[in-house]
Amino acid sequence: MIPRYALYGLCLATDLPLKAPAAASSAAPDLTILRGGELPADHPAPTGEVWAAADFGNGVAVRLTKTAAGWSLLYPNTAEVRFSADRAQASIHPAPGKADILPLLLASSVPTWWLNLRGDPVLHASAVARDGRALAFIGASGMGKSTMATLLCAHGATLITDDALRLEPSADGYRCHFGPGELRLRPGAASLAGYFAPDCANVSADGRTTLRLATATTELPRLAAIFIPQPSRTAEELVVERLSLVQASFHLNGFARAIGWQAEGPLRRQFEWFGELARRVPVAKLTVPWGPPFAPELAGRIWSELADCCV
Amino acid sequence: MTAPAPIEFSDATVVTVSPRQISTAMGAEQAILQLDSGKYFGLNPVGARVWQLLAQPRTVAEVLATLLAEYEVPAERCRADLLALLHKLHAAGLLVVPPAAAPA
Repeated sequence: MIPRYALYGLCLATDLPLKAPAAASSAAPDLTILRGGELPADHPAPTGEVWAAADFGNGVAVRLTKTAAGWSLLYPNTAEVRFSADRAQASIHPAPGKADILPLLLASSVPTWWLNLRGDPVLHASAVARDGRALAFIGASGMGKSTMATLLCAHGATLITDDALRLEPSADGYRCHFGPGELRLRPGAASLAGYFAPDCANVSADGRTTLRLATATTELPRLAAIFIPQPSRTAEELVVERLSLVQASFHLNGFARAIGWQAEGPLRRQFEWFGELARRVPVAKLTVPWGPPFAPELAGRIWSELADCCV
Repeated sequence: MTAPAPIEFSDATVVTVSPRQISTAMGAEQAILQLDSGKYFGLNPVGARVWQLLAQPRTVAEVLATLLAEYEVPAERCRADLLALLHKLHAAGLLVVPPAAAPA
């Protein structure tokens, strides 16, 4: 049987080895992704209607195309994922020399785009929980999301996700789905791995220090607040600045995990979905005295400061 | 998105919100997404009231009269602020002059 993993509230079946919690063997896969053949070096972009295209610089880009057979999610010079029209099946094809990257794509980016195709927008966020309440940190790459999550996990919080946060509306707000259970640290924050047991640490295929942390997989934590980290080398105190509803809505849309939409349907869906999220959950900028070194009491101060603006 | 040609608004100009946008009320404010440019816009409570009025085609004079009835503001300042807002909304592709109402 193809191994099944529990990711973002989905059952993902794949023959690629993922560092993610196993799903129950009885669980029906939402999506089955099998390793396909290697792409030719001069692999052209598929023909069809471009639904989304984004270029993140540093040679990293993504392009989602509606094709005659379904959808193509192309990471130029890296890989292509081909989804069936009913989105239940997919194959993933590495560019030459890029096979090691496939598990990384399957752990975050690919499920994110798949969820969006299904109508579930996803935040570009790290999130942690304590006492059933979750805090999310949104922002572009390098803005401190993972560092914030690492600091709080080092002081007793549970990791929910490091990169992509899927939220599910509930009667009391929003519930957070768990990601793969791994933190990926940038070189500047790699020293934070020292807070954790040595056997948690590893190195990812893209050269980052990773921390594999246990995640609770029972009750989904309730999202209490969303923060936009503002790392500061000069600030001496935490500063929380609550955003207006309009500003909150703009930031949530700006920090969606899947960006560059050109198709109107997903664009409308994302705008309305994040607008409702901004109405129901406080969003604030959080100026943080930055390290390393980080003040030992910083995590505790974050929890106490944040308690004032959580729902 | 190509910027629309500038318009000289008069009291008789009929304007309405563009079909190429979506918007949602955020408390007393308004968040707007222009679908062709992918840009987001926010309106303060007074701007949101103008937006609400322009959900259906109205003349500039009608909008101005409503604002003067609802807000304590000198007429000339209200007119200047309204025209400035209409110009910005139009340049952003958020406002149109319906073809049937466009001046010959």
